[in-house]
Amino acid sequence: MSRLRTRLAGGVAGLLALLAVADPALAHGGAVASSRRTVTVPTWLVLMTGGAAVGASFLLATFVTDRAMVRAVDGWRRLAPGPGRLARGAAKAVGVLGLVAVLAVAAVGPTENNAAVLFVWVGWWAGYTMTTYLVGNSWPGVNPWRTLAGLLPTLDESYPDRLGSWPAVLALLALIWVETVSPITDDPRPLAAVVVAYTLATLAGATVYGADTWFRRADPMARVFRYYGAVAPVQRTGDGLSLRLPGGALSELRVGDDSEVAFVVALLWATTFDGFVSTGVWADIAGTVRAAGVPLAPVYLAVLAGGFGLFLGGYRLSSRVARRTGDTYLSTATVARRFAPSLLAIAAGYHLAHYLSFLLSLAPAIVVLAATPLSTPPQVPVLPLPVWFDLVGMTAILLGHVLAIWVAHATAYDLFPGRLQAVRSQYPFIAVMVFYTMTSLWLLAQPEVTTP
Amino acid sequence: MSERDAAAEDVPGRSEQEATAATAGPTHVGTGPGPLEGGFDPPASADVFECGYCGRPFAEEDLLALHRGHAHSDQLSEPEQAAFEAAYETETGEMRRFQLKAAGLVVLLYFLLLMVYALV
Repeated sequence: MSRLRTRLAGGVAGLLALLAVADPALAHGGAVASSRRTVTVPTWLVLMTGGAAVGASFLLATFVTDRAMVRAVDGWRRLAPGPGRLARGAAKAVGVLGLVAVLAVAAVGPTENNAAVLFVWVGWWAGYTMTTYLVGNSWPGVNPWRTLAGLLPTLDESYPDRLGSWPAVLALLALIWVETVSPITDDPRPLAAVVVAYTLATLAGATVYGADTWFRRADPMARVFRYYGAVAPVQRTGDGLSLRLPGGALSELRVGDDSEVAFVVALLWATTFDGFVSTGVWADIAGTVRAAGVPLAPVYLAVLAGGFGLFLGGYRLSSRVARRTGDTYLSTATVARRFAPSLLAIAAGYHLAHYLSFLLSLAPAIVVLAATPLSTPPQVPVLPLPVWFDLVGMTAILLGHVLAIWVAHATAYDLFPGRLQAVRSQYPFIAVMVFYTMTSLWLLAQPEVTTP
Repeated sequence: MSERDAAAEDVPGRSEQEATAATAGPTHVGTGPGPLEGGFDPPASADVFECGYCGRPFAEEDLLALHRGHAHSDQLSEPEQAAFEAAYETETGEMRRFQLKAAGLVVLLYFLLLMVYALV
């Protein structure tokens, strides 16, 4: 995806350069610009400010010590009727037709500027995912594989419990790896092959273990959207929809075991990894590695797996430290499970920061390509974004962390009888959050480069 | 697959065993996780203060007193109620001192950043 983005970003830059040459007014403007003192904040100061903002948010949160109030904020809800039969049927139809259209266009459409490629990466992986945490998780209704699985017979084998959600963790990491090393973000034919493979694996799994079990436990995409959806204001309940404050439903999300904690961490790491492999630092490393004659695909895999291990290890370590600073006999695993939902707010904030400009700049291209999916239009429009748009990304990262601090605060007050104990239990998590804020701000500040 | 199941997949906490906990809501303030099994891991050598009502272990007597007051407020004996109130008072004082330091730290952070911005 990063490669696609870099190419299109290059296009945007070229377009802007063309405009500058074409417009004489801009030539005069150039003189003004050079005489004006440009105020640029150095990156290290941006990182420091971001870290300080997150730390200060934690300190301010410690002033909220009223348990009833903490619960009232998270428990606030307004009920609304759920979607009717017609809307549910329409969602299913849209999902299945979308899948069929993507497969068809990817299989027979043009190999350059293919509408299916753009739809999958920009429309679905960036845009649709945003709706799941900004609005609500509609995936159980739309999920075409779920609709198709419902048409198939089921063997209803019992799902092996010892596997937990590890298949979903591995599948998510595998998809991320395939996305970075294969040409599926550019070339429609391999993309079609991957979609077919995912379809076959999913339908086989749903047939053997039953659709409910499969999508609840083993399917990576359903879990991605379910977890992101827990951040969203619109939640589905047994009898309709309920409107919550953003992140309010995270207090009720049960992360059941170690494998589910691992999935939350994998989700956070997946977007971070995608950001990291498009930085200049990585381009240098990858260039050196390739010059040494080492194939890059296993190197990407090693970095993906190693980084995931580092993230998971770091989170487990902070849970162990939290057990000590919080002076509690709760097991480390319990602490890790209970604080894991707060990471989802961070993951959502970083996802938004990472993909929003990508989505907006390519949104017109999706519309144009979708209108003529089987032929390449002479021009693909790209929306140029103003420079200040970077601030939106940074704001998203900070908001994600501030939300996470609130969620962790509410969790701690739910877990621990002592107020000061609840505050102290958060120390290691806050340290990790401050560090992660600075890391993601740094990633965001890096210019995108084409990596080998 | 039925519609109900599709909806249930989407509801946080609606997965099998947690269904009852989710409908009850998080009312167990300060009591730790719902089920006791596997949730705690008290060290063998340290003092353990166990709650007489629910069996949850705590590292300090004050924390146990606070837990009893929050989680079992309708069942407390008089000495337990008194212990809760005393522990709560002590904690309020500690909390005030902590918040004073926190406020100081926020102000300090603010001015440090302000100075750095002025210099850069």
